[in-house]
Amino acid sequence: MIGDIFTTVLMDPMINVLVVLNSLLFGSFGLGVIAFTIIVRLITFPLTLRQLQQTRAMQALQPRVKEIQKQFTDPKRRQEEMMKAYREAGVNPLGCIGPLIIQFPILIGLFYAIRQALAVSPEALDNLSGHLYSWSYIQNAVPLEERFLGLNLAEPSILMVVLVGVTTWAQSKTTVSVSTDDRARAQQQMMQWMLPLMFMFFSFGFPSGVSLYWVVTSIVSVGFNVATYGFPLLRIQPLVGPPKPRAPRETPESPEGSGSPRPKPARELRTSQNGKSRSKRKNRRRRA
Amino acid sequence: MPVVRPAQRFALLVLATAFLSTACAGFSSPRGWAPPLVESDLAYLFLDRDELTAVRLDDFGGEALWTFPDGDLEAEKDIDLEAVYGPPLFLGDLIILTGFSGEIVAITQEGRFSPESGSWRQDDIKGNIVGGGVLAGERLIFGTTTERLYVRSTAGGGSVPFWPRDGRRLDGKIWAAPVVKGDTIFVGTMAGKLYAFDLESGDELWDRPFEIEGAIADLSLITADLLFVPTLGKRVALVDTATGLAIHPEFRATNWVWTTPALADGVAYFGDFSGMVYALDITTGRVEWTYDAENKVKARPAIIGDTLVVVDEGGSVHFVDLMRGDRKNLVKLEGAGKVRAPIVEADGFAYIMGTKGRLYRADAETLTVVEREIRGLGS
Repeated sequence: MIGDIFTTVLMDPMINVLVVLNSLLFGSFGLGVIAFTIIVRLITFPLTLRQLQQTRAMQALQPRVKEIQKQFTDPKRRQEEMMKAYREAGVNPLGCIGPLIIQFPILIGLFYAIRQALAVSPEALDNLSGHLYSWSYIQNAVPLEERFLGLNLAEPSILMVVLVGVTTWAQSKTTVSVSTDDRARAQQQMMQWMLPLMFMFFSFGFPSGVSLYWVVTSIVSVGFNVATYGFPLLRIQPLVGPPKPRAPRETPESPEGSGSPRPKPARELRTSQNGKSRSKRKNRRRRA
Repeated sequence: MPVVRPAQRFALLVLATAFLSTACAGFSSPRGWAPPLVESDLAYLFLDRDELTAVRLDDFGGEALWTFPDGDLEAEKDIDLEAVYGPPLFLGDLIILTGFSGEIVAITQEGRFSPESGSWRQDDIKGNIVGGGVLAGERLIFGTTTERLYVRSTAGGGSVPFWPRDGRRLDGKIWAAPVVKGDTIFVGTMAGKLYAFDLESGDELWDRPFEIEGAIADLSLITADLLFVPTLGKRVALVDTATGLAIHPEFRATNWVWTTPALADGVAYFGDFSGMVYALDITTGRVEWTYDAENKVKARPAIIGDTLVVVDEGGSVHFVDLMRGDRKNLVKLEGAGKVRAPIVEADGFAYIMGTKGRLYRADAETLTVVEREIRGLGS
């Protein structure tokens, strides 16, 4: 049942779009995969942007999170304060997983679509027939040409394995670190090397067409990361700003006009000496 | 509240990739669909994807005589055909097999690769061989997925004059087995082109190739001067071998036509991927009747007496009245897998093979199907 929905809603449209793009782009499946990957990444850009902004905002909030963790020992209270801080900064701690979950089926669908569309064996072409729409433009386009720039997109290639490694590393390198914790940072440093190696290992068994998809999507991700976080090494500033914090519910107690994602903890607000945050009773006493 | 870090996000991706990599196995791996070859009490079957088994038939089924290649034999352990889609070719004392891997091997009638007895192998072919080869005198002709048409000598697989050793480049991959009539080779390509060449000189015989919408994945000569040209573009053309022109307007099927027809009294019987079976009068180009098998039909049907035996890909055997197209009986094969190999007529029966390597015999008189159990096979 779920498999049927996945096939009908995701994989079949993807296969057919791939076939159409292949025909439009001079019968080159490689160009078709590149164009398709870019189109999919553009369509899912709002999700990606939200995810990147959430991550960036989370990063900006880390000093404050650390502060709260030091300040409150009671777990319940600490939780409440952290949630409050997240809310005031306009950050949903699970905000970056939502877009990821939505992108996940797309990624898996693409993987299968590319493999199905290539159909190099007669059995695969036989299976492909059940996924194609009846439009003659599509029907007449198969089988697709698996050769692209000297590569056989249906078979693994060392060149693509290397490119997968390099682009995955670049993607990890341009991804912002959320944690301020040294241990977590060290872990992330290790992941920057481990992940490319793992993906390289996997791509040894993947057809180059799938690796090509991965390379292009990684390059696009690098572009999105640089646009969102900037790239200090090359002195590139972020092009996209952080998400706007939500309007606080208790207006008298919130820092006005700051737009800062780092409001002070509630206890500190109660102890301030001046301004609107002082209690009415204290003000009356002062006037008297 | 948990926070999803980039490292965790990547870990999720890694997990997904690992999951996908496990799904890779067998996704598009070729298995082959060579038809059974039955000659009196002997049958040659590809029970496994790249293993040919000779079977002596009896009343109960058959006894396996030998299987090729035998991995335990030094001379055969590195032979890898990957999958075989065309029937074995018999040439004197040799049996020639064309593998999807691009390897061609000639073995003895005893099923052994023995260079002392004339066996040879060729592994310098560029691309995959899908449709299999065809013999014409001392020539072996086959096409590959790298758009090359090869003509080689049957004596050791060597080159022949006027035909490049690396094959002749055509427009489109070649999946269909070429067809030979006298000294003429006909070859269809997946780019929808049909060529005619002189076997001896290599010259192209028609002014220009015949062109049709859709890929030509199968090809057959149905009369002395008529080619049956089916396409994945849902069309069928009947092409005059002398002129390279269609004798009727193209026939429009409901879905892909990837098969060869059975022929009787000037009527071609074939199915398409929508499950429709057509009786096409080749003289008039008109359809006499249609029958809905309700499932993809890839296998060539067989004619036994006044019954058309059709098997759909799901393994249902349809006994259809040849004259009217009415169903006489329907038998579902258990455990056959997908049936894509052409049905073979022999001794008044129709022999059917599925992807599970089991052999079935359809009896058009009793309208029944029985499995022919093969004994003596290794585990």
